[in-house]
Amino acid sequence: MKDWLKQTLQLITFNEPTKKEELFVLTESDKESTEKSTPSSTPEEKEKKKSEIKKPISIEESNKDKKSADKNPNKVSKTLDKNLAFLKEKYSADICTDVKIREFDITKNKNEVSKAFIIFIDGITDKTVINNNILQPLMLFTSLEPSQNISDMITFVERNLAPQNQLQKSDDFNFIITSINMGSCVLFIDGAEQSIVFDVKSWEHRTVDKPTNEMIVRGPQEGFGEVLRVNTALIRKNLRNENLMTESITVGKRSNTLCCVMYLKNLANPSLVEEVKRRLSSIDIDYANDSGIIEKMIEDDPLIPNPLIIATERPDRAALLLSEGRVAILVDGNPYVLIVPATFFSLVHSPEDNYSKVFFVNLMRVIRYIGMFFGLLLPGIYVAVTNFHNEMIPTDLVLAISAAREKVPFPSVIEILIMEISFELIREAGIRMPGAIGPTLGIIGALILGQAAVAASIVSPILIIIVALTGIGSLAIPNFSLSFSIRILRFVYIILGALAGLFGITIGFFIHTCYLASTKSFGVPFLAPLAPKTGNLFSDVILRPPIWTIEKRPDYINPLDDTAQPEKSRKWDK
Amino acid sequence: MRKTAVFLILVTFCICLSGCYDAKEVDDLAYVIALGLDKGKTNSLRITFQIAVPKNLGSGGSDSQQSSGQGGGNNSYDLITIEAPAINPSFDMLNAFISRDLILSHTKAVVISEELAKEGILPYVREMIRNREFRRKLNFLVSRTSAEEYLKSVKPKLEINPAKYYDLNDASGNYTGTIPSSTLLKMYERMLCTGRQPAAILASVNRYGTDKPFDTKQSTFKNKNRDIPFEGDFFAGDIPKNSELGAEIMGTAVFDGSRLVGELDGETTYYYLLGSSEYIRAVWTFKDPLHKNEEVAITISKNRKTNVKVKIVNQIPIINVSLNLEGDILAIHSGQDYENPQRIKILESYITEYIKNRFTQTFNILAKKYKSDIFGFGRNARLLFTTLKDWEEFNWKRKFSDARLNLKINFHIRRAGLILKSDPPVSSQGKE
Repeated sequence: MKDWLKQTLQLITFNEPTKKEELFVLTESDKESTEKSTPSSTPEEKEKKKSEIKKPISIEESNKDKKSADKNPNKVSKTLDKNLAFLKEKYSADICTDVKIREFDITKNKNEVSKAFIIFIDGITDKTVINNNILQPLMLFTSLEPSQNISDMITFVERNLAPQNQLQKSDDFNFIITSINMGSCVLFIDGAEQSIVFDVKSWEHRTVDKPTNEMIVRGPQEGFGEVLRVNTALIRKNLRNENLMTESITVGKRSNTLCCVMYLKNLANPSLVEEVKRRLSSIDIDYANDSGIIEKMIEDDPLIPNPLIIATERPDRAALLLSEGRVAILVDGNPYVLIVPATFFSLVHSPEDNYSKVFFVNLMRVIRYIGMFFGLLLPGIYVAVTNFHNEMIPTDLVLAISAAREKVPFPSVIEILIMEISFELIREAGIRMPGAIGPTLGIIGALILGQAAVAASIVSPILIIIVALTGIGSLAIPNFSLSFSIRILRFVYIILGALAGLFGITIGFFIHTCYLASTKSFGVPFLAPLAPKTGNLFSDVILRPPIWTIEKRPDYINPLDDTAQPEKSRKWDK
Repeated sequence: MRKTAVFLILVTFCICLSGCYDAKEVDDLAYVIALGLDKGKTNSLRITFQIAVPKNLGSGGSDSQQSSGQGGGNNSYDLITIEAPAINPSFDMLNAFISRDLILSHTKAVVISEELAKEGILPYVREMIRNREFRRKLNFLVSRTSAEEYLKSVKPKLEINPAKYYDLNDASGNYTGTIPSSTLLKMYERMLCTGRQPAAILASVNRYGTDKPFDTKQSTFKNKNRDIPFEGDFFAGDIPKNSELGAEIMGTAVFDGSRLVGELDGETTYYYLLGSSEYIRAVWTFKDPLHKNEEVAITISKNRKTNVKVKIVNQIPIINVSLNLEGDILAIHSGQDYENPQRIKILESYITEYIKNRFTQTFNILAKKYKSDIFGFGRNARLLFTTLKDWEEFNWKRKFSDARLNLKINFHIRRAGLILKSDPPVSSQGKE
């Protein structure tokens, strides 16, 4: 925040070009040479670089590394009691009630039994699987037909006694504990140096549901849920391709949130994938359970009101953007999937744009831009025009406004601020209030604020139209974060309009546009392909041409293959 | 950090000191709808202001609707007359009793009395042009009565807001052809222009009031060899009508430089518009060429731009004008079947000849009597000169009085409305 002044001045004055190291810029690259991202210039990021950057690897691998690093204290002991005592201490099992430890015997020979126990956390594991597929074979089937000499009990159990499709042998307590926390059931057998980790997790979660905040009329109606694997599966369902990669990175020292990076191996630019993984793995945060937190941690410029990352809850949208060569970041326990890089225009697109007729889509697009214009500038322009440029208003209208304002005691800027703030109040209260009070808010909002304010001559009726248009306009934007940023900046424009009329609004808009043009989202300029102009502006940027004419993927993403479809894709049409 | 704080404070001060210094709320202003200029008795100008009263213009709640309903819409504006040395100082005098700052951005019409116009209008036009608030497109009217009387007689029944009355009425020349279009900027430009003279809308208050009987003394039809007046044979104020709305506009005020030198009636204005290419369409009445006492009405529209070519032979301008017109028959009172392809030729050649004669007569009046090239033929003549100096030395505005006109008219009747054949009525005696 302290740099904003310098940044503003830099934007509008001439600067000697300084030699500084560039931040990550997404450039063309070949398949072979995977560019390493260049080091950053800001001091904080340099420090980050110094502290060792973890290579993104899966959990198993990371645990293998740890295993070799530290020897005894976290290794499974041969003695069962030691293991039991260790785990009981770790989990404080006598106090903690949902950690269950079940001790039992496995019949080895006719006379010989092995002591064993399983440990799991109740509630996040599947009880029937534990009963039928782990305990039953171990306790019952071994005694039915006692087998011959068993040298390695663990291998025997793995081979013969565990009708369970996902299990893993491990002697590393770090991994074991992480697995237990994630909903696995772990089997310890006396005398064995390893334990068996059964994947029996069964989280309570929503079923795949309609997306609640990204509604469309035409198109698939399922949205992401809270379970990571379900979400990856939903993307895979839309993008059945062997090149679709899913890499895991754990974020958060305490929350241990599992994140997945998804991309198409033969399409996404390797340096982009590398950058995403670099940023994700270098996050040093205590608690990050939500994609919103992750978003703030990895976006280029967190102090700009506009979102720089697309957050979507629609698998079809995610799959579509992946097929353009973008990279998706999925966060466990969160229905919003982050997709990078984002550009301004991609935030205005809706998944429905791909499913509807071209005329309809373009009408909707134009309406959205008009809505954005209304949401951002209409109240500011109203204040500017009524205060400074009333020759711009048609005579009949200026007389009508004058008549309507006759009894209003406030200047028009105060009048519009009163209405805008009360409108924001209704919105915020509408989100926070308990559902049962909904109708009350409607009555208060519509009746008291709308009608009574006019009847009491606190505001003029024309102003209600302006505020209503502004509100509806900002709601027409498909991306919620973008519409939020417009809601905030609207107040800046009102003040600029009140201070210096259209001149002030023009200056504000100029600086605003400069800011947007100077931002980057994962190495891609935010206003691409408009500024800088790259590729074809008429290929699904502002307006959308018919789908069969979109032959190239967006150039600014630099995909490895920039041809989306051949020139003639309607091949039946000779 | 300290620098930032200092900068912020400076910016705040700048904004506090300079920001919103010229902001004016919409309801803190008095909107002048029209301005009338007369010769003053105690001072050089007598200025009449027509100021809108927004609270009576509706949409302000239920009270205003009632009051405007009772008052018949006439209290939607206030008329104030003041004597002042010039236009701009009069605003200050007005603010001695008007509570709100006057704003002229919404002024729709300026009315100047004939008396004042004869003395020259440039000082006043220049004063208005100099003031940035005056719209360049406001309508410029010359009133045969005093401007004060004209503004008093503007009591539109159709509009609550008189601004709309001026906007619409002064644009009616587009389809009536009886008034020119004249704006403040056009007047100013043409006064200073070397190739064109200004012309303004002629306005007046009707002579007959609400109940006086009609006469045809003032009509111009006698000079045109007719026994009855046609729709354009009047100057403003002479139209036989009885109405509460006394204001009317018809005809053209012809200027020479800054001074008013003459007036054209409604019908003569057709030819001015045709010659200056401003003509769009108008309804014309003609005598039926085959039946002495019957009339034919035709809408004549321009189907191509008027083509003007000027030659200068021995310092005498020879102006070649070619008109491309087409007509739609509106009325044939005689019942003659002019729709018939043979008969239509009779009508066409009659009308062509008629327009030719009248155009030439009008041209001669303007050239010989008024010596004023309101057509703007000078702009075409300008092309013949290589340098501006040559052109200025030639002095078009003086040479125009010697100019000769060659007129070529290409006129065709294209449509006959929804009746394809004029059949005689069938009575008990059979076909008449």
